[in-house]
Amino acid sequence: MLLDEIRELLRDGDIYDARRLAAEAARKHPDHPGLRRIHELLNVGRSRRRPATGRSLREELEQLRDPPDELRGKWVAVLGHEIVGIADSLKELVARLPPHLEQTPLAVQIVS
Amino acid sequence: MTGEDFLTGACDYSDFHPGRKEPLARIYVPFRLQGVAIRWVGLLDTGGHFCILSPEVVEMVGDVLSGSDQEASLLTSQGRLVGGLYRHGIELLATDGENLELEATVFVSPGWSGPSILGYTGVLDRVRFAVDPRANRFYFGSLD
Repeated sequence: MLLDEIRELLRDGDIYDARRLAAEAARKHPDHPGLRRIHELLNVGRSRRRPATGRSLREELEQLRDPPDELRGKWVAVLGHEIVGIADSLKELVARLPPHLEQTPLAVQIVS
Repeated sequence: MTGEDFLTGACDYSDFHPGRKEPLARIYVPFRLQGVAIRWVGLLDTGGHFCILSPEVVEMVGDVLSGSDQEASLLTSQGRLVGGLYRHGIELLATDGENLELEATVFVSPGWSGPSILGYTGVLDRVRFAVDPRANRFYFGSLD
């Protein structure tokens, strides 16, 4: 019953009340797997620290600042000053990335 | 609480979308989806719900999204959209300090044609964060 009510609130776009009710319901019925699951979906997000793998966006933004016309509509992978991939779709871009890149490239679609 | 307790990582952000010309300045933060070896930028939306993925991203990672297939409707800048809610790992990528991996609530709708969004509910409310607009730096820290 409570689970149906929460699902209905979500379908109606009442996210705030759905979250509140899910938290209350999970507190009252901690052994109910459906209520626990929807409460975790809406309200619980654990985090953990991982080794840094980011790199500065500055060079990449500079590289993308005035893209040539032939890149319009394309997906581009950039790593620092280097364009490491160009493709018509993101899926294709990822499939075509050079193997063994030391860092994760930034993928951007050049729309305008 | 000291600054070190508050923050565990920092990265650059862009105040424009690197691939599309937009009339407004916004904050785009680099992130990665768990299981995908590429970075994107996501629009930081403190007034929005959930992580909304752009259609291209969904097309590529759709098969790795897992968890509930709970339907939801969401009021967005493109009107009210119907889609599914999922739980998936996203990682904020640090150039200083450490990355932060978090379990996010992700909304996927075939009607969404905008950029990926990092919303408040289900993403940003699970981290501490701060912005330095002079340096275009985004700072983040774990709540756990």
